[in-house]
Amino acid sequence: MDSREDRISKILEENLLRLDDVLACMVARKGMEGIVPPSDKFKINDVGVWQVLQKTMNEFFDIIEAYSSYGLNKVYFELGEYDVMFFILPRTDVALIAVISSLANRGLLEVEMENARRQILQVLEEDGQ
Amino acid sequence: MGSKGFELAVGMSQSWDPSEAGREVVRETLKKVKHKPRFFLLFSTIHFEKEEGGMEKFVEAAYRELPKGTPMIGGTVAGFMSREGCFTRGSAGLACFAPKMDVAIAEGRDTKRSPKAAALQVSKSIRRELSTSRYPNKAFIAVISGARVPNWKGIPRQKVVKDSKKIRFLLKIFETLSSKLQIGPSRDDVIFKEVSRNLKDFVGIGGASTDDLSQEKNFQFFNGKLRKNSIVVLGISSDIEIRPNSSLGLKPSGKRFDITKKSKKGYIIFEIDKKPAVERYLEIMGWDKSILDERLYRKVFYYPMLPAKKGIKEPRMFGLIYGDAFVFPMSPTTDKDLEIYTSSGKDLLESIEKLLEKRGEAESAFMVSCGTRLETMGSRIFDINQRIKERLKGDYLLIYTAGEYIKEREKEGLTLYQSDNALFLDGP
Repeated sequence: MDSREDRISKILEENLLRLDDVLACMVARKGMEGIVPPSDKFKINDVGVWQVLQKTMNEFFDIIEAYSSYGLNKVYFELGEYDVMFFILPRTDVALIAVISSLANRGLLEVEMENARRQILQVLEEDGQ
Repeated sequence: MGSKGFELAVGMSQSWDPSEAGREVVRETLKKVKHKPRFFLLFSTIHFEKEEGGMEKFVEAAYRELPKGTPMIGGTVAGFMSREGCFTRGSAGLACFAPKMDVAIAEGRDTKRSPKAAALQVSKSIRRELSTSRYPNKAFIAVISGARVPNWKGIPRQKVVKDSKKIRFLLKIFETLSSKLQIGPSRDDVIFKEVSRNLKDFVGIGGASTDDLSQEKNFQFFNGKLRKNSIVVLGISSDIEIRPNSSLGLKPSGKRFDITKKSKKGYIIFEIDKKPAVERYLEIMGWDKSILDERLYRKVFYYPMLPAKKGIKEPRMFGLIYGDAFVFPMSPTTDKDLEIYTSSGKDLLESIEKLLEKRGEAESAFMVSCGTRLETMGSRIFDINQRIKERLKGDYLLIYTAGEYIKEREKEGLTLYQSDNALFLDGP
């Protein structure tokens, strides 16, 4: 059986990264520590932009850490040509993160983000048993 | 009490491989029914288009997997929900069986060029094929090709295009040209109303096929064939009770206006309250001109226009902003005293409750809602699904389209936007 990391990575690659408007995605906590699909599958090639995104995302984790226990569910921010969506895994400081194009249909993508979050939670539950 | 032997099952697939998905969606659906289905509905998001010929492979594979001779129609949608969840990528199938049920299917082509002819063709065919059926309850399900954002040479393929000499010239010839080239307005308002007039004793439901709401392309499915710019219709004659219902969940905002200048066919609005349409609209909404870009669409979709007076309410929303004018996929039903309506997430949940109130004893349904609702609710759409799941014991399929239609028996067919619609299916 595949490891927990492999199974989550597969969810990210198959269910999110294959969507045209999802430019990058990961399951991570502060410091970007977590499960990150191979970067050659990401659609953001500009290293400068990627560094700014990582720095901004890191700062958002402070908010997630502070409010996750109060039921914080999602956080969004818009950064130039990109939107970043954080779907927090309940009662943790870990989030499913997707960087999408700012003109993408966020509502439609949210539905598949929610499906991915549910699948990831299932993997974590199965692994915990 | 359900009709003896009535079966309705919904299945789905999230495979990326078109052929595998086609086979899987049929297999998953059919394993829940005991009989060969009287008909099969097939829907998919547009994602198979990433592969050359992918959508075609999907439809062919699905049809091949069905028992020979099963009538099948469907089309591309923005998303769907069923007992299994909510999806904006995947494919879904609905199989239906009743011991006493006759079924006919028909297709009409060139819907944007000859909407009335296409409507007449399908309604005549359905009426003829069901003319010998002895069952009392008649219904039809229609999938019509939705609007397509035009791709004009030298003009960006966007929903908001700034004013220029080119745009002003294009607007003069837009209706003739778009109809000839089969792009732009869907004209499903004309089509559905015509079908409804010809099938007056039927109840009906339907939707406009679309993609991920970028409205660049959409397809219809007719047996194993992939169609563009078409209407596909399934006609049913049966002893089972088939109950339609519709709900808007919209509230009036008090912001009213008149259309004072429009194009010949009514799809382009040039002036509102005797001022350039876009300028006056922004004034009414209290929005600054600086938001006039593609992002505006995230805002305007939630504010449809309806006649302020009591009576038939058919919401409308423009699909394109060309210079100072609005282009509509379905033309507004009146020029005088239109009002902007709004809806909140709570209103949308209540709309679903209201829709389900009229289900009677039905436990299964085929539903059609506006893709904008999916866009508005995002992941909160799972709350809507939970409500439906709690109230219906049987299977159901809700598709999200780019225009919705509903018809009650002996009444005019309604063409809608920002609405929730259902055909509840049950035994007598």
